[in-house]
Amino acid sequence: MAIILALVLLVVAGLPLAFAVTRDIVVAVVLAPMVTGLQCTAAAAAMAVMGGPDLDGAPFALWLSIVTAASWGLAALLVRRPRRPLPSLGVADLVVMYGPLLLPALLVRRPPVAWDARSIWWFHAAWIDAGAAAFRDALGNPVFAYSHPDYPVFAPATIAGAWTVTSGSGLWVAQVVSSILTLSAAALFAYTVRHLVPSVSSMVARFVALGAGLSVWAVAGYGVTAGYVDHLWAAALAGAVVLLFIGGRVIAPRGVAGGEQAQTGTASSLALATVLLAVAALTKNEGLVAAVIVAVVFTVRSRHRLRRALWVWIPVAAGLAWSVVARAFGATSDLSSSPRITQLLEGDLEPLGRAGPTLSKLVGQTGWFVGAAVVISLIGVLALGQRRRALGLAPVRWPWAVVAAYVVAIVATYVVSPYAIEWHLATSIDRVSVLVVLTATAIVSSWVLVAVAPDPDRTADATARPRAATRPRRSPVDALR
Amino acid sequence: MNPNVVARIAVTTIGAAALAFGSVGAVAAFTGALAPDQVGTKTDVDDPAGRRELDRVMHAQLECIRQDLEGTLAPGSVVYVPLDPATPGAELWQQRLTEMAFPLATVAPAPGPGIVTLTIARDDTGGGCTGVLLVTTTGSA
Repeated sequence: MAIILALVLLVVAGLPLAFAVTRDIVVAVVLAPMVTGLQCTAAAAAMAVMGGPDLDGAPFALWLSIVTAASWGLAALLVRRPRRPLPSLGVADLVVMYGPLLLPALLVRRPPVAWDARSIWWFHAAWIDAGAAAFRDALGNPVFAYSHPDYPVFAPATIAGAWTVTSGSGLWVAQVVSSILTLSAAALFAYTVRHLVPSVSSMVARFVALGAGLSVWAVAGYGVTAGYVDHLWAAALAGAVVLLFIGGRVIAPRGVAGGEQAQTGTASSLALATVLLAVAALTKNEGLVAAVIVAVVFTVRSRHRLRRALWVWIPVAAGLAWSVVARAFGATSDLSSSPRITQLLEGDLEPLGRAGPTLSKLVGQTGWFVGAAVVISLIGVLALGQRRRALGLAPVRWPWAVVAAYVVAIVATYVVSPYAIEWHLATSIDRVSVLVVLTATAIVSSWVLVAVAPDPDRTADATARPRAATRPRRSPVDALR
Repeated sequence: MNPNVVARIAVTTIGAAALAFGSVGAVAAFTGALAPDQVGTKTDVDDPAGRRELDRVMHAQLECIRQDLEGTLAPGSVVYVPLDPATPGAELWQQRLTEMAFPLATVAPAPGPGIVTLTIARDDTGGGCTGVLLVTTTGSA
């Protein structure tokens, strides 16, 4: 019963705003848990910042109610302005694309004993659940420093939100909520791949999208439903990468095809990408770093339309704002206080010796996926580049730029980490590799769709009449500008 | 044959293989989810069945210790959780006790008068929590 209540909260609380972004009820239901998570994050941050002597006793449920009411009000304002919906998901999509994702998710039945889950995410959820004063005290308590108190609160706040409607439900509900958030991100990642090339046969696109969705389990699969958040932020960010750098203009509103996508699809994609980036930036510090990379690369890509690029900096600002708030209440970071940073600043390059083992382990985790993506990209660029452009996909250099920058960031992290390199790699390199694998999978998927798509010239002829008959309208993100 | 067609076939073949390979982890997770617990299996982190047994035992221990804590700690207690080298898995238990004591009690960084020290000991009596036992001692003035 507690799990059903938690599921209802996850869907209902975020549904109005999710609908305002997508304008399609099915896609909104898939997105809703992550929007609920963002609302819970806002409530937790507001509780930490605004709780004073008069408000310390106010429970998290009160803050969550206020933020949820505000989000519903915002949604009501947004939906008044008519917009074209994003492409919907039919029964066949749900069965073929999402049905198989539920099978590996059955691993959620395993006991909730994972270290990260108990010592970081569910522990932080208990801080939030205990109210404003306890939350602030916990952030600065030196005894809790091992628990990474500087980490963002997207997952813990969502779990604390679920606990408000399932009092005393404990860690099983926490594990289920963590898993639902990750499944929501995986489903949205698959959705972005599903609609990359509208002219591809629906069934083929569904199976390619299913492959992308299942690849969330490709590395560190034990963590997907065990309370870890690495797959959550990586899948959300990979979805944003597909929208911003692979398709970019191809998630078109219903009834719009071809060149009209450039006018309307871009804005719709941007709205969804902003939500997904916010999830990544507010879930884990690595997610924030990856969101910064995406924002920088997208700004370069949109250098002639900087107003558009501003959107992707909103999630970055939110992530940085939480970082400031946490530190203001005494949260410490093991990484930023590492002696190896001082060592490097003083000209001692000995820590750089840690880069070799890190790269070696990274290749061990991701080599097959990255290798396949490199080979396919080379064949594609040499032989199918024109076809890719004609189908409306962006050049493949953009997602590769994100992968390259993220790999540099990972290696730099392990170089300056205060821990013994063998131990640190053994306990985490698989999980930080997830984004690399998912982005490589997205690149592979995009080339497969390009390869199996009907000849673009024929598609253009076939759609010439509907294009002329369909007048492009403003898409959801236009309302946000 | 048209080079474009060859490239499309190559990309489709390699891509399909890569996507299938990427799904192997999901298949393993599914089969792992269906595998039954085999109570009494030797715990082993490197063996799937042993790992499941390790998780089952740990979960049983944690739930039992949590109930003991809830029954032991009075409202408003202050606790101290030392790193006890005598405890098997000392650091893990220090962290778990810290987490389970919150928010029942305030967790202090050092022992002191009136502060309850929490440790875990190996249980040789059979009456503890699947091989371990919660030990509480209150600091005197």
